[in-house]
Amino acid sequence: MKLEVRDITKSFGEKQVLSGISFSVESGEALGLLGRNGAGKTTTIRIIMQLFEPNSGEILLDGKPLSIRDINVGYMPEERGLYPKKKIMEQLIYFANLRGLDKATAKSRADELLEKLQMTEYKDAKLETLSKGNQQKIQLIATLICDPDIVILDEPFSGLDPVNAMLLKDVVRELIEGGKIVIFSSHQMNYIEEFCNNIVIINSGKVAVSGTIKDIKHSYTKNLVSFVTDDEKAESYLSNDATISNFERAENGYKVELTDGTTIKDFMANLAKSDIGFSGVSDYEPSLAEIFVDYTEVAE
Amino acid sequence: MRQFFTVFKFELLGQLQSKIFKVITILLVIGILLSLNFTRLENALGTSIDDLGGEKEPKKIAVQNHSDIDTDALIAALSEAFGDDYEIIEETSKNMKQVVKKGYVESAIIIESETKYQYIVETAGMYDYAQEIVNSILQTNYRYTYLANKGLSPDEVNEALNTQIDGDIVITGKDQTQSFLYTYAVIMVLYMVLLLYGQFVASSVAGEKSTRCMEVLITSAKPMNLMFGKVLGSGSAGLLQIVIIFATAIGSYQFNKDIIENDILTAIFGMPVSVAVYSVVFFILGYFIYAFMFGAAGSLASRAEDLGALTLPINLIFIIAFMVAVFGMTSGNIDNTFFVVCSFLPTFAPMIMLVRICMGTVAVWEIALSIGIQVATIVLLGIACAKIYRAGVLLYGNPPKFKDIWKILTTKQE
Repeated sequence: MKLEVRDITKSFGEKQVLSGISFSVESGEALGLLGRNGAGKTTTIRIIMQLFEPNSGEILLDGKPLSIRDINVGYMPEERGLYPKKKIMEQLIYFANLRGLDKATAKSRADELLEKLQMTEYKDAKLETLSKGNQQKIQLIATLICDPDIVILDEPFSGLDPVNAMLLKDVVRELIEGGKIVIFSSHQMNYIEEFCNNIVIINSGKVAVSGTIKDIKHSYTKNLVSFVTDDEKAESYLSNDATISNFERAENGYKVELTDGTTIKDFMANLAKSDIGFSGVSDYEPSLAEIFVDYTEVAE
Repeated sequence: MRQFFTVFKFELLGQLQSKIFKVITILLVIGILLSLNFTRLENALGTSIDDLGGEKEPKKIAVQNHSDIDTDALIAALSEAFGDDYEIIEETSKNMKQVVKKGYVESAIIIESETKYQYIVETAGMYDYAQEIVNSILQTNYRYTYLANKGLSPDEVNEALNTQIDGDIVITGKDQTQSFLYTYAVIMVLYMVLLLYGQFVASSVAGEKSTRCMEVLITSAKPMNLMFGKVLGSGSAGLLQIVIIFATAIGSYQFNKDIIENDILTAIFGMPVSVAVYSVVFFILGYFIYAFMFGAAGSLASRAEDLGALTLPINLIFIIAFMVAVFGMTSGNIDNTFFVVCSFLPTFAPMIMLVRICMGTVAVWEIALSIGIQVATIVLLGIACAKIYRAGVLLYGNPPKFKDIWKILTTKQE
């Protein structure tokens, strides 16, 4: 299956919230929606879920317009949506029934997932008696109970402690391995980096950058070199080299930006001619957080 | 349809399992059982509940006589008229007001002449009929004396004053004195139950919205199924509650019919079967009309605090309908144009038409037309409510203005 978001725009009154969001994701892939608070991630997700109508653009599933209630989709909203005063098992079965599962299947699926997320002991408790993190796990179970083909998770990691985050990571990994389409938004770059082949960074309602993490990193690092050294003379050397346009201190040395046309080979050749001691020169590998900050700041 | 039944079942069970439903039902059932089996309980205990507090002291009424009327005869007449609960005593004190104020007696009557007296009482009660009694005694006395002075013999006076008139009433329509009490009872129950369950639907929808359940629900099921399931589910619980309460009441009444000596109860339970059936029909119609409006109000609220402001217009309409019904009933004038028009207005009809059926003259076609109008209104309201519900999911912040609601209703949705 292939889910395509094509040129979505949306405004609320005067305020343009999304202006031309496009991306696509296929079965067995996870797509990370990144963006700062208020960038339009949740609005995009709500449009996919048909909670909002877009002003223009379309959502296609295998080339046909998507109808959210006709496909098996699991949706975990940003602000969780369960009944605080109902027993957990009761509402899990209710949500499963609404999505077309019969009671017996719903119950066995719920038991299975409760077991997996270590929540079996709470199945007869009322939701409101659980901690925030545990409520979130219940919400995840409600999302996955129908074994959905498309899973949309809005900020799934917020509020989870490291152990629960690990459990959720395993679940997400299984979904990807099981050939599901997974879309999730997050601020936590390390999680995105862990599972997503594709990311879309949204900034002020526009796609700032999208593609595979590898490609994005690669294009981002074209002229960046990681220079590992503890030589005190290094700084004056870097400021005097004409092939270097910029540099800054980094862990164990410097992050060096070369001028256009200069390659890492040229840099190393020049370095060899000098008397600067160093223990390594390599292509600079930026973290996703760095790319995120860079893209979302630039466009502001 | 399957989705509808899922929602219906969930709401119905949720309602039946809720503490408030159980408590209200059980309390009402116990209350009805106790009050209707009161006489039987008294008999079983072998003692009247009134006697439990020991012998009740009769209240004292002081009399001072300055007229020519014979004091003993006067006291005897007053004693008979006031009955066993009162003791009439003669009092000669100069300051009768003080006697009453100090609480030595309940009240005092000073007869100044054959046609003039003073009645002294600390608090004038709503149902104080002492003056009527004194008026009547003095009047009778005056008439006897007057006629006797004119030369009539005591027998002739008696004949003149106490002639028996034989009158018969033939009622071709309804007897309002009979139907008033059961109509009142039915309208009260209708009012309370509709308000209770209507408000329940509103707060349940607002709750789903504030906990954001709606966001998950609306992406899982059709709004129409969600709304109709919820309204029908809660309504069935309400209907069940009414059936339990009525069954208890009717059962207890039938069981104790022969020993109950209360005219009010006899009148209420003397309700014709047709009225009971119409009550149920109008309860169902009224419930749907109001529940859908309340549901729509609930889906426009962002928080529980907004609910009051949003349901206010509905409550007002409802209260006005109730007032019109009650005023109409008490005035007895229910076949006038205003009342007839109201009995066809959908939001008024459930109560007003019921009052007309119970107490007035209504043609069958009128009832059918009123029911038809209500059913059509329900269908329209249901569709409108589902639309508002759907659009209201993500409407947070200030409650929308009427203009926004109109926009929601006129926009086509999937």
